[in-house]
Amino acid sequence: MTASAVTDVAADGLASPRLGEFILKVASRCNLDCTYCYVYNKGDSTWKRQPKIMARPVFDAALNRIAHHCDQTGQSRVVLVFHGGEPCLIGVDRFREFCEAALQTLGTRANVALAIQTNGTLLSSDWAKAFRDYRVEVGVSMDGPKVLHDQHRITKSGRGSYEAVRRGVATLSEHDVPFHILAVIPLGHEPLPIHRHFLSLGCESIAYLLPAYTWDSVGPVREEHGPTPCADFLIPVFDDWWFNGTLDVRVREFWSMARLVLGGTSTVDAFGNHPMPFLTIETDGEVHGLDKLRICQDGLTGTGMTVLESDFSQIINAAGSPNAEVLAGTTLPDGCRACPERETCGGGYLPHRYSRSRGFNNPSVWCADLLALFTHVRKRLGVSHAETAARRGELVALEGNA
Amino acid sequence: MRKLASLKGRERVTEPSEAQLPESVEQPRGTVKDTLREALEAELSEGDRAKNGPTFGDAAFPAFGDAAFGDR
Repeated sequence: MTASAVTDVAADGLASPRLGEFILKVASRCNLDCTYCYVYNKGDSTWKRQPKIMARPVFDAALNRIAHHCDQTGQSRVVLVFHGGEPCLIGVDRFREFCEAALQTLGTRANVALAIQTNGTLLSSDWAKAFRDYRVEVGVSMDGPKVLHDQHRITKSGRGSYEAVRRGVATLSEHDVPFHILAVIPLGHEPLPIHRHFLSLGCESIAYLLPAYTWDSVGPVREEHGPTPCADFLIPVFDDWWFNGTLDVRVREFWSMARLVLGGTSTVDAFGNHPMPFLTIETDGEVHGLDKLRICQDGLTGTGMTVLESDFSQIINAAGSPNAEVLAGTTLPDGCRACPERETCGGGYLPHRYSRSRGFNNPSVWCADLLALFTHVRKRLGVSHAETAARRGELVALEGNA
Repeated sequence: MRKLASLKGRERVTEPSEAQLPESVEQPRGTVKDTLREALEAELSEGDRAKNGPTFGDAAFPAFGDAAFGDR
């Protein structure tokens, strides 16, 4: 996909990519202190100067900008993701107010889908009822069974959060609120007990995140866990899903990899190198680009512009903005050009490509893992590189004729 | 929108060797092995690039299809 395929020219003459998704950082703080957190523990400090909670006028300003953006682009749908920090820190009453305001402001312009990503520790019946009332898609962050989860997902006093998360998940189930699990791949651990633990919770889907490292920070991880620790974890999980699982529980990364192998695009930003049609709005209203780029440099994601005074088209087109390239699709790293999976993997996740010396012109720190994974998924699906290319061409042609 | 009929029914080019398969696994009907390719081809047959692009990875929610945007 090229940027022009999703770009309109707004009334002010500025190119305006269609932004289908807005990450609303309604709380800048968290009640946990997870060891690997990319917001607090990977070198970025922008959260320290953010208000703890997004005030209603800022939220309303964000909604108005989103509404204006929908008017400019004519898009018929938009996704709002309540994120943080821990978004449940805003309290359920404020959350309901925000949901109501979002539907009132945007509902006449576009179809609105609401989602929340939470650590699960603060969930209660009131939260579950709110999720049900507003049809909120719920993602819960979890790392596996207690002994593993409590190694990294800890409170500020160092206590594990597993029991609280289990109570939260149970509350969701009691209220028939479907939920999705988001896990950071626990390197060096036995994969299947972890995967089956998630299945036992009754989740709708599972997402496995490649741990957040750059070329400047991955060295010790490589020394401890070897050349392909993510693939070592994910390939057995894939095979368990492939042979024993059903599509009732999707594994997000596998789904996207299979889509790519079959010529399609990724549904997640971790690979594919497609334009990323989303922006982040912080509690003070400042617009940030891809949130995970915090792991690269302190302050890298910020634009210095807020929804209080600027439209998204102005922010995206501001001189020196790193977001324009992210939104348009980045250049494939030089080191990926001869790779047989260059069109599927696309160089991996942008933050994982970063080094201080070469910027983003590197393959992913998880390159060997991604190559092993794509090779495995391709083999299971029985699709050659040539067939992937042919399918991709057909889909591009189809889109051109649509 | 035109269907992408040519994507359906294409023969697989390579097959995984039996030696690569895990031991023991009974394969009930409806496993991912039996359904993934068909499901994805159905999804892609309507045209892929009309979709909204990838979603933000650090939040677990489905890539919203049209059904999620129904009346509230």
